[in-house]
Amino acid sequence: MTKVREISASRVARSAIFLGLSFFISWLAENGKLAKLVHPRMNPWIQGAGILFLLLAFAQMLWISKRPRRPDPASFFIPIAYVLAIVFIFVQSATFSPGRFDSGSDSLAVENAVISKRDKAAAKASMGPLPSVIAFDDDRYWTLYNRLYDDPAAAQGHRVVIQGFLVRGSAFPPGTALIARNLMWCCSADMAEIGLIAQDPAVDKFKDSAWVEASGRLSTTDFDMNGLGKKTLMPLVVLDSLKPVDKGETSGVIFPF
Amino acid sequence: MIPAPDFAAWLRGASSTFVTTLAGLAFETIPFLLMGTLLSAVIQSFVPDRSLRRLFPRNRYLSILVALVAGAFVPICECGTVPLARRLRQKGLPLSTSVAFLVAAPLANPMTVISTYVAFKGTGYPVFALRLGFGLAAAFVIAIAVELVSRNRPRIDITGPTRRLTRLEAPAFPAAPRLPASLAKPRASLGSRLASRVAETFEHASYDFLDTARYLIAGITLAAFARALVPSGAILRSLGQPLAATGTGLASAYILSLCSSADAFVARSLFAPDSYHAVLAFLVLGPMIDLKNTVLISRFVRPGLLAAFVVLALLVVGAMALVASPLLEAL
Repeated sequence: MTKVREISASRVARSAIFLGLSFFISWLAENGKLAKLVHPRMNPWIQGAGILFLLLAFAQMLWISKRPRRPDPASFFIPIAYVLAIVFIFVQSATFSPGRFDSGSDSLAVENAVISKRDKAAAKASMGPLPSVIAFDDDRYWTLYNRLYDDPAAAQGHRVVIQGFLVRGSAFPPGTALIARNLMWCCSADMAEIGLIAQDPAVDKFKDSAWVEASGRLSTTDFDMNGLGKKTLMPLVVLDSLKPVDKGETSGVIFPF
Repeated sequence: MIPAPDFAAWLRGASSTFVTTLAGLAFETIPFLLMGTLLSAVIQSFVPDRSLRRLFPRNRYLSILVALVAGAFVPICECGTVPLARRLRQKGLPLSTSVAFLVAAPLANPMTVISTYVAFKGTGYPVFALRLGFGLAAAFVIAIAVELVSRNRPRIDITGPTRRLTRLEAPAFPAAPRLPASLAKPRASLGSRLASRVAETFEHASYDFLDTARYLIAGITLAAFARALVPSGAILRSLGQPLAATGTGLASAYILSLCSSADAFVARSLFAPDSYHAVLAFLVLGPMIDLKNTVLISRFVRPGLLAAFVVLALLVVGAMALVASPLLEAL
């Protein structure tokens, strides 16, 4: 028996497109570039898509037949497999622990545990008192950010060290800037700049978006962050020092969940 | 308007926003579109038309209800449901049933429900339940409206302008090779039949994905442009009055074109949780229709019908947010 194979130009083109997509996704994942575009929890989906693209590329090179007319047991097993897959995904989603897909950081797991408690005050208490020097590292950034903005007065007098890029909103007076990082919920399309407001004439020596390390003492201020005429009490860093730092390998992105 | 001296800075910021949004949306949506086209291809290859129709009641209103519930079993977001809804229509289900599925599945799927629950946990507002309840109610109203309009036109063909899709069923399909003698026999072995169907599934998925992806990319590009051009301050400035807040929620959902599995987190950070008008409008409309999906659906639906669908969704969700919010605030 001779197998009939027909490789058309359109089939080769489609195969090349799928291969290209598959390799591009693998390259992005391998080089850690995906982390700048999508949340780490999306990685399994994207890498799964990369594998599927590879399969589609190979399938394009195989021969395709018409569907046989007679029913067969596959019609019975496929829905069962689908239901099992749904149940699996449902269970995975329900037991999803946001820290799990991340870099193995313990602090994110702590964040989850805290969020699951109903009483916000109890949650705060369970986190313990703020340290005398509050260092904003990537892992604790979101937790510390929330604590400071939830109760700015509680942190007054504490020393703080924070790295980020400088952002000056239109409503910012001279000598004031936001030491910001990008917060990503799902992908870069929903990123937002969050951070602490810093105050010192030294701020004006740096250009917008310059990466800096700021250290100083926490105070509070009534500030109209968006220039909408609505002032809110928020933490303010009265700077002791502000120095340029190399952004280095960090993507500058914070993942809250 | 943008003051002239700041134009260069604004342009730099806008182009950066455009590129960031475009890349982010592409990597967020393409896996789900691929899943959707694959599921659609599995239905095409493995589920006979008659069997699929048997799953849905003959009564069209009950059929709409079944479609609403079916959404809970499809764990993909709105980009993936478009090819699935089209497949249901092609398999002979009523237009209203397909629309009910298209609108409800992104709202009712487990990922959306869980992410909404997580995003608004601790705020004291059962936002995930409100989103699901009001979303399904809005989907039902929209599907009923479609049913009433299309009832007397049972032969309405939503895929009218897309005749090329029928190439998959036509013998002239350029990529389809000739059928070998062994598989042409009705009593081919189980393994051969299964292999044949798997191959057919991949073929349908390949064609559907490439066909749909260009529309998705066009939609993403439009959404990224809109995102770069609309200043975020404009969103925040209009949250004072109920009508303005509802309009802001609707406009934000439509323009931002975020994935339904993550938009709750954005709503949480964009609006105060007790701003029911904006939150409800944003969370309910976004999964139903947005800018990128409007372009994506335009591949399969006539422009008039698509425009009517978008306007209907905006009106129903807007009215629901305006009516429901005061009641919820009083609770």
